[in-house]
Amino acid sequence: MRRLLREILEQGGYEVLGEAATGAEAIERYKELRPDFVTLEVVMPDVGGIDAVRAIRAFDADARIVMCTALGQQSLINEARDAGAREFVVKPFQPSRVLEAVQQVLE
Amino acid sequence: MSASPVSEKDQDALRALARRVDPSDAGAQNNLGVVYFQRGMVEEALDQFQLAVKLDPKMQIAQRNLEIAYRDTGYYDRRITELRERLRRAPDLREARWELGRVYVSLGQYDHARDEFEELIARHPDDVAVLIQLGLVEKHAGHLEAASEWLQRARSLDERSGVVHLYLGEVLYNRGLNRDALDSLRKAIELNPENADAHYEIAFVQGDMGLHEEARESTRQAIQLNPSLGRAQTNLSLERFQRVDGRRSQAAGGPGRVTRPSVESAQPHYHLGIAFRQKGLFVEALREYRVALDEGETRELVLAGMAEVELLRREYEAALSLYDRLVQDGVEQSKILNERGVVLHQLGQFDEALASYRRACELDEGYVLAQNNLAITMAQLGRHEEAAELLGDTVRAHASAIIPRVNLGLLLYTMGRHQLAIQAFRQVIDVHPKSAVAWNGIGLVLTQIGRTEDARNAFARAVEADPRCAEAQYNLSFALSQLGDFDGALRAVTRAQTLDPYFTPQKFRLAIDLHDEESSVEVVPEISADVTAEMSSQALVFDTGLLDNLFSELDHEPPPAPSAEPRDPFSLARDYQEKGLLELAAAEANRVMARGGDALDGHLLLGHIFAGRGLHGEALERYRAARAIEPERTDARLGEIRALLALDRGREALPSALELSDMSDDVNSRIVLAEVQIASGSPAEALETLAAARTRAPQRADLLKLEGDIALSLQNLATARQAYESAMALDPRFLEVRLALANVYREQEAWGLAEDAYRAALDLSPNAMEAAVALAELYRRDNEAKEAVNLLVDVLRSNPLSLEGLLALGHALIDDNRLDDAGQAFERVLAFDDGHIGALFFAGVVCARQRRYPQAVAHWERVIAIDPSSPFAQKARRHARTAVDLQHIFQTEAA
Repeated sequence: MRRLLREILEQGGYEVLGEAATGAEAIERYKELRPDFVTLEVVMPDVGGIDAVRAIRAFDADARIVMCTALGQQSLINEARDAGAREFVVKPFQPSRVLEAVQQVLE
Repeated sequence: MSASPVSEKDQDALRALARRVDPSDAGAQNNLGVVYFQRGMVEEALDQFQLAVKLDPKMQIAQRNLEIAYRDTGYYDRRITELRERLRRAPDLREARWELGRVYVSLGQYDHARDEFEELIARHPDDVAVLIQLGLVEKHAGHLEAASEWLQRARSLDERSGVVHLYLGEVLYNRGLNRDALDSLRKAIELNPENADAHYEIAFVQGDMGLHEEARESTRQAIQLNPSLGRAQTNLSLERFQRVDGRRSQAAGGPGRVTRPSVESAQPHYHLGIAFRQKGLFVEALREYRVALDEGETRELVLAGMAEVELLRREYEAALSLYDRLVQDGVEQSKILNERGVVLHQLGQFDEALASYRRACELDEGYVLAQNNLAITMAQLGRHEEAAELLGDTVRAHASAIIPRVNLGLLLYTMGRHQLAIQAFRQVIDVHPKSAVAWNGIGLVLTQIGRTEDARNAFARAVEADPRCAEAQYNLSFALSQLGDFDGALRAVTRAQTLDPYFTPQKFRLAIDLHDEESSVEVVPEISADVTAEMSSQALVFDTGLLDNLFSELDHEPPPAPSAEPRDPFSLARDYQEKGLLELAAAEANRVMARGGDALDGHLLLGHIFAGRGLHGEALERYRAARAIEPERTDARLGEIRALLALDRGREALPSALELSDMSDDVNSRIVLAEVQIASGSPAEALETLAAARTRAPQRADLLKLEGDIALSLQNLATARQAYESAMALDPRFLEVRLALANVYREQEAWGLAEDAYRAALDLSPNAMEAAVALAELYRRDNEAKEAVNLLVDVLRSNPLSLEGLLALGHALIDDNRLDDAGQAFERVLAFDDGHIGALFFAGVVCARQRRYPQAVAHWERVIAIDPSSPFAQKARRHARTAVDLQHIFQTEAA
């Protein structure tokens, strides 16, 4: 998934500053790199995606977060939205959908 | 929306562009829709957005564009009204209800869509296409369990449909049932190994299950089968164009690499120029860019676009002049400077090229493409060490950069550093296992160190990855000849020569950025990759582990499994077609043809698909293309004739239809000839043709129906009756014939027979409004108004919005002297259609009977105003005059 997202974002003209394999790592990487936006999976090992959203937003209230999820995790989507995620991309997704979502959060 | 009138020439250019847009690329269809919309070609825009949504139902931007276009134009209001009206008249009309459901899906109105498809499935419980639609509607609405149930029902009815397994797999994945999703998607792939969507979706399931290698391979296969799945592009949105209306003169740019034009800048000619360029229509692109300049669109963007086109068409002097103008205008962007460097490079001005690349790198330290090009120029100037160092730094900093890595491999090879070269190529293959250039590079190194058999296998892998790679074909032929396989060598060299008549050594690649598409194009400088003996003698010491690993991979490439029986490459497209998913069917058929599928089969299938979509002009082109390949092919000719008939060009089809009828014993060819004869104004000849056809197929009721219809058009009631009666004897459940026969009986004043026939029609289809209205008319004729009212009330219970039924009920209620109820029936019609002159006229009649003369006159005056020449208006004038007199009399009496 990370590889696919990287390829899509790079094709879309974005620079990928970093990647993380777990929620905890994502939080640390965010603090270190301060990217313009971050994409997170809802379900991640270690710290889950929603807790990662909360932690990132606690660190940076303006953080722009795009969540990637399957529709089956709808209750989690609501939770993530409440936690501060701004856009959602439902898997399986087409590359252009990812770019649309990123453009939305950057506007 | 600000739309200027579009000239015929522009419309032709746009339509030519549309024909070249990748038919399976939803993003491209959406973007074309935006261009159409901007040009005021609303109908075309709506078609494009709808097509995009059908190709990719999850594409939110196309969905929003469709809604905006719909809102702005009211197009769907009209379409929905039309379809609803058709369904009111004939509730069994599957095609209209299907379209209505699909329109609601397009608009995201899933509740309405569900109602329509449930109505359809109630009438056709085993209709797999409808079951799929219900599954998709529930999925879109977020009701995944309901979606699974519908799709499982579809699967139980059509176990061999890859399309059903695909959709079911996706829903199961969305429900988090990964194992079941995997099984379903595997089944879809087993049924259609070339189902790109199934490969793409299974990659997500595999990824979530931790099967990362499998996921990567599945994605790779998906993209190979459908390259648009690997294309990430920001699609155009009407919303943004509308939001920023009036901001078009803003200048973009400033230092930095990202000069991608904002979609917000609403520069239609510039965007159209890009679209033409993307399709390789360079002259048209330049023309459009010139118009963009005249229209005052952002000059620097347009000039950069023009320069890009000149570069791509290898008009380097023209390109340089444009880049120099940009630089003189003070545009200092890394992208522009990189491209200027490429142009200078191609013109042999290496020092200037170096300076331009260097400046690009200074402006943007992370600009991989400029670094790559700088290194290649250095290599070309003999500064190999510096070039290798720079490329090494670049690939270390940008692990996913492919072009510099390939160039590094090639440079190291030319420098005789074979092990490092192999490592560089190997790293490319890790990311892109089917990289032909990397396998070819490995083959070159292996040849150099005398491992000819392994080299042969590497070249074979390159050819397998890209059969159009001429250099790999040549290299394969050399390796085969060295191994004594002269026949194989001859075959390879012959293939190579068809691709490129001259031997092409592997070349370095310069890279440039292109707007709105894949981020690089290769521009090849003439740099030889010849290796000197001195160089190659330097490095024959190898990490044997690396080579062993590579060789074992080369040895163990599994041969393709022989298939037990020849598989129809169009099976997936046919599967989509059967399920009514015609846009997806067309896209898949085009992809199969692009992969080398049989052109005749492809054109024929596309003809059928376009005909099914009602695009008869497109269908005609496809059938003609099929006939160009095999002129005598009957089904192609039949398709062509039917398309001409549908286009009201039946007369044009007459010679072909006559020829076909002579050639073929098939009854269908006779039927189509009769249809052409009718369309050509020769119904008597059509009757003769059908009579002849009937001797061959005496059991076909449809032939008799057609015969009856023709006789009816000739006012020959006796022949029509005979034909319909014969058809009824063959197929008593043929509703249309039953109704037509009842109408003939009525015309012949055979009242008893007519009544029985209408009743029989109602037994066949209790909601058949046409039969109910006609039967009610007969009851009224026999002064049985109450019977008529009861019948119509019954039928209207299941179809309460039928205007035709309400109108007939109003008449029956007048006859029954229930004037208030009659008035209500007409008012109800007027509530749905306030300009319905029949309802207005009779509402006036009811008012007059109730002695409400002013109201009656008001209704009739509206009838006259709406359609002054209609028979209703003529009657209304007479009635109104009488009513005014009566009003006067009653007023006088009252006084």
